[in-house]
Amino acid sequence: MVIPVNQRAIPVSWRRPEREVLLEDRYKYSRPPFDPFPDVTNVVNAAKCPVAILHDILHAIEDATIPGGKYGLGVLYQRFIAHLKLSAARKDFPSTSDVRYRFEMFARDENDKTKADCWRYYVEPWCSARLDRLQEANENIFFEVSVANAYVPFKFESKNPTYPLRGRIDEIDLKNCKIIERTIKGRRADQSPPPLKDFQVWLLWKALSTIEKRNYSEPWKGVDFEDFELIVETPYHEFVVKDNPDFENLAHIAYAWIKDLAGGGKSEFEAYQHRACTHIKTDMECGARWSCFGRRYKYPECRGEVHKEIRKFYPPLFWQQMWDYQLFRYQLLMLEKKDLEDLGYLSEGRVVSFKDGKIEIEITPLQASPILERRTSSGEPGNLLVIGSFSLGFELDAVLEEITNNKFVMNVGRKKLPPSERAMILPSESSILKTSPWFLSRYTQRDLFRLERWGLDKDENAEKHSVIQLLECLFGRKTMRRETS
Amino acid sequence: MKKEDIDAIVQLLRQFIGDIESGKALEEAGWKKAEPGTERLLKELGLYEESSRGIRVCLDSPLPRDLIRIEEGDLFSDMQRAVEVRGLVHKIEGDRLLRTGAEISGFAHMLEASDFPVFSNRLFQEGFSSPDEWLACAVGAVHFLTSVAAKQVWDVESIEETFQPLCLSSLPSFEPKKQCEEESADRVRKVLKWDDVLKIIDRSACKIMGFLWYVDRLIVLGGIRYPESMVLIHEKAWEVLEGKTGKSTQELRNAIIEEVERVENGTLDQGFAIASWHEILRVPW
Repeated sequence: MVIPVNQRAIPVSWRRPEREVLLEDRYKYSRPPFDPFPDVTNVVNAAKCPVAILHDILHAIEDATIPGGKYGLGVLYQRFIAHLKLSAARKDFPSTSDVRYRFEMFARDENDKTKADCWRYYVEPWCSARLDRLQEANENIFFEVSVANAYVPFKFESKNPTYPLRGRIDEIDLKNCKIIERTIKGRRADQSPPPLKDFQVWLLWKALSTIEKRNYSEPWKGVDFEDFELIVETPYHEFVVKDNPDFENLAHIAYAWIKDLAGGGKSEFEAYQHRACTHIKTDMECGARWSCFGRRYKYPECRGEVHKEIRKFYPPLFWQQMWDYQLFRYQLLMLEKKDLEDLGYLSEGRVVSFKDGKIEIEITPLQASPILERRTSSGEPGNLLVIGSFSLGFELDAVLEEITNNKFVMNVGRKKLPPSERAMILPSESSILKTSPWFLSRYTQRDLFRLERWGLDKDENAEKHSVIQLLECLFGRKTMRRETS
Repeated sequence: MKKEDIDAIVQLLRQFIGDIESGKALEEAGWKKAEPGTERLLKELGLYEESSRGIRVCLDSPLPRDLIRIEEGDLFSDMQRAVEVRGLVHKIEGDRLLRTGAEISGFAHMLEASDFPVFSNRLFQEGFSSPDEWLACAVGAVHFLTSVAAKQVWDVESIEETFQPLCLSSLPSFEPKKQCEEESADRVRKVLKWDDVLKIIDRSACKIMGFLWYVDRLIVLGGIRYPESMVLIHEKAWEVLEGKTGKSTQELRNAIIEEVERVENGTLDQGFAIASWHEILRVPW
């Protein structure tokens, strides 16, 4: 059930980190004095259901609009379509008979089932509908473009409250003025886009079109994204998305839930009170279905105690992610270049060449030193390479492979990048030097939640299972004793 | 039980669960128009309840084993237990002595469940040699810390006396996992600047937290497993608090967060917080 807008305290006032916090002059501990920096997936999860965003924040579920187990298929599908279009832009058009072979070669490192499913359910229908339209592919199509804006305005009556938002656009076609959200969801008979996919592409467009023009870099300068056509592309159809006032309201409600659940203004019970589906009418396509309606096992019998002991870790683990990762996102957008350099996060260089997935960057010794320090101290060659700006550009995992004189050679994989002289090098998102690796907190949340939900039903199996027995001893009333041999 | 009988009851259980999940009140949920076969079946199983709205599965009677094995039956039984706990919440609310005991007991549970995340330099300043020593001592000091809080917040000299009415009503009360000597407990009190904390924090915030943690304890002891059932209890608990304070749930939650922030800022040591207070003084998740 979605709460009517007028029953919630919206628009919410979003707390961004103060300068002291941005400059890390404040010790990172406890509940952060700022609200999260959500990505589009978080906002869509929150718009879908308060319990989905609860599971996202506390139990680290990913995209709730994709049924569990299909996440990897979507990535392969996206990459292959990008590969086809990039080839077509170079006038290399596959024939109907050729495309299967190309897919097999492209996906050769994947397991047979993934390959077969991806071809059968997604790539093949896509090719049937659009292979002949690959002629439209052009040099001005870009894939996986990162957008971020700390102040995206959303209409609310006569006001324009702002929230932070970041995301990745599947495809931008500058020539034909299109933004495409590609999804593996959708069926042949569909008359409308899969639920919330229209909202998703609208959010991305909203973040993109409200970035201040001075934060655009080449080739975006002079482009007016306001007029771009928004498209949700399923394997079977393309749906044009029109601006819809309901999206604004949906965004406000989603942000309200994110703020409340992250900050303690609401908790589990309020989220369940407003869950979008029920035991009786379950959303079978929901990615959080297992988390909500997973089987309830009889053992361990001390599950209540396990939950009681474990749940206290979830909010602090989320706070840790906010300190370690989301603050970093605010810093990139809200601090000046000089501040980022002083913090040791940003190094800048000049792109000399980009060929076969390897980028050559000229960099001064002063700018190079934080990167070399990271490499020496942690042996970590990974970096985050940003081409464009932090608001609009390409974020690439770049592995430092070679250093010669004042030049770094970094491997970023075969990507289509816009011509750019400027390269910004940051610590990799998983850098163990910058902070503790934030994604480990997500893993810990997920594993703890799985432990809470895991169990056995049969008495005889439970009696013999060492983990069940251990849980009963640690959290329940069973006495631990050593077995005699 | 025959399969068709199980199916007939499951339909009624689904009706009840669906109604509850869509926000209907307990009294309104699960009613269906009477059908002779179903009516007879419910009567045979001792599960019959009727009203002007029709018939439903009785909330007070235990389900047969065959039904509990099914998911709907399991969830319904869980909701039945939740209804019992709601009754306890109502009982506590209506009795001042029970309520005081419950609040103090809950306050102690809150402290015990926190693991006391205090910054290590603060521990060393006060002579603790390791975080392990601190944790052992702090957990053992919960009774002492609660006693100090009880004097300040509830004007109570002996917390054991406040637990008596709970025991007489067969309600649980706080039993410390362990208790350290008063000297050690006093060191914990100093590390936490406990006296300062109690001067800063609003009395009613402590009472609200204590009450909610006591309700949380009832949920754990009641063996409630489904969040859908827990909602029934939390709704009741917050309804009680809203009625008592005249404030909304969100206002109460925000007020507590603000109180804890005041504690955090009011107990700084050389400009640094001494503990992660939001992990110690909080509303149960």
